Amino acid sequence: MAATQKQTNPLKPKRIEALARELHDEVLVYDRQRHRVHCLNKTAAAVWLECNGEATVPEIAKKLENPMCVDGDDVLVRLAIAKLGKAGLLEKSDAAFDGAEFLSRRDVLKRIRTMALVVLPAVTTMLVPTPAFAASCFPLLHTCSNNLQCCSGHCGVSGVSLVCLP
Amino acid sequence: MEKLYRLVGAAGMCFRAFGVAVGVRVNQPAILEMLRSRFPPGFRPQGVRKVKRLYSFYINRRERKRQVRRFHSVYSDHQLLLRSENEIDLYDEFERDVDSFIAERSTTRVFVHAGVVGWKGRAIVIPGRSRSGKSTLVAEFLRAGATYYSDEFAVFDRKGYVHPFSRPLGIRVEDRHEQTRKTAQEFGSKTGKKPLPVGLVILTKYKKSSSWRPRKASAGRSILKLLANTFSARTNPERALRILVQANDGTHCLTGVRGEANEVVSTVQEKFGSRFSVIPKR
Repeated sequence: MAATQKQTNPLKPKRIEALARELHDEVLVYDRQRHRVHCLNKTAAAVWLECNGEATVPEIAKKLENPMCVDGDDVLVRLAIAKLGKAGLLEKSDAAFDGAEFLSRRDVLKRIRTMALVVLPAVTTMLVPTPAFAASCFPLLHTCSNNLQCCSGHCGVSGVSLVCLP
Repeated sequence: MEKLYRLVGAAGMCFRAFGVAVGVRVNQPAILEMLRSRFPPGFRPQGVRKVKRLYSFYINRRERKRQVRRFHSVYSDHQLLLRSENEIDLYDEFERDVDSFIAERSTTRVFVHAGVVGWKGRAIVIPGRSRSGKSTLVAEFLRAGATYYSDEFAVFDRKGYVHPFSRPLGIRVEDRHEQTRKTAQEFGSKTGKKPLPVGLVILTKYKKSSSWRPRKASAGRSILKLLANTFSARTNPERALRILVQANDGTHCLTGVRGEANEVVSTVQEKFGSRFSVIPKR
């Protein structure tokens, strides 16, 4: 049933609206809604930029055939889409991108033995802190007035004063 | 707010630092001079004007009585920031809060929580959270002849150059919680004045009994880590990203857990002893 649905309604991944900045071999993406910043390597970036919501996975693979030397096989694109979906960089309107239909990194490695590891898609994600978390914090036993001021994250009563506690 | 004004309206002043106007008022005019040493580096006093934040100090000078505790307090606008019997705690908290506020609101600079030293005409930036060992590493670089820029903030301008933010270094003594303040001169170094382009970003964290085996990191990873320590990253991500990308252009980045700080300094001396090579644009 699921297979029939897939055939009739092929997956057309669409990237989210985000702030992107291209570097030499990477793309940095800032997700304003979740305040997460992602670093996409060359392969992941190429796939993400092609995810316009109109192209299907085989179509994206075909477009990237030459730059990524994947010989028409969409295995890398599928892995990249799974990773991008997991990182929240694709809109999940019609399907989940991290489902069983997408291959694992191990499966991909089996299929592309000859390919250099460097072409495997990689997405590194980091949460951007609030200014309070980016700031310096107080050590233990320093007088405090709220939890954010303490490195331990715990401002509590000791005697009659509020101090940073473990 | 009016009640607070009646309490602390004895004296006050306004200053501007990195494009942010801040006001301070106190109930004891004598402490205003002492507070000036806690203002951000490079501040300029200004006449009375609209400020972005107003700090109010209430120092309790009433006669000590038995079984009555004498509290001092500092307010940020109308909110109590800290109430303590120790006056110095108030100044420490003011310094921490005003620095964070300016770092977040500055319209002219991007502030990253990082240690910075000048080395062979370039800046070495060590981003990291509190207690990650930034100040210890900065101190070790100073002993090795580097110029002091900051142990707290890397202040980037529009071109991606790093400016000094030179408060005395806050060094935590092992097994003790309090910090001791030391100037760059105490390490036989001097404080930098000129803005520098970034030469090296070191992504590291102290871990006891570890040894430093650095790996090269990509520019993307370096910017990711800098952004994760940037104060205005949430409020103005576009500007932060643009400036950090510019700052990282042609720089080196080393990553890895470190043990003793001198291992890191030795690596930098070996690799960049004479000068920094600039990675060419591809």
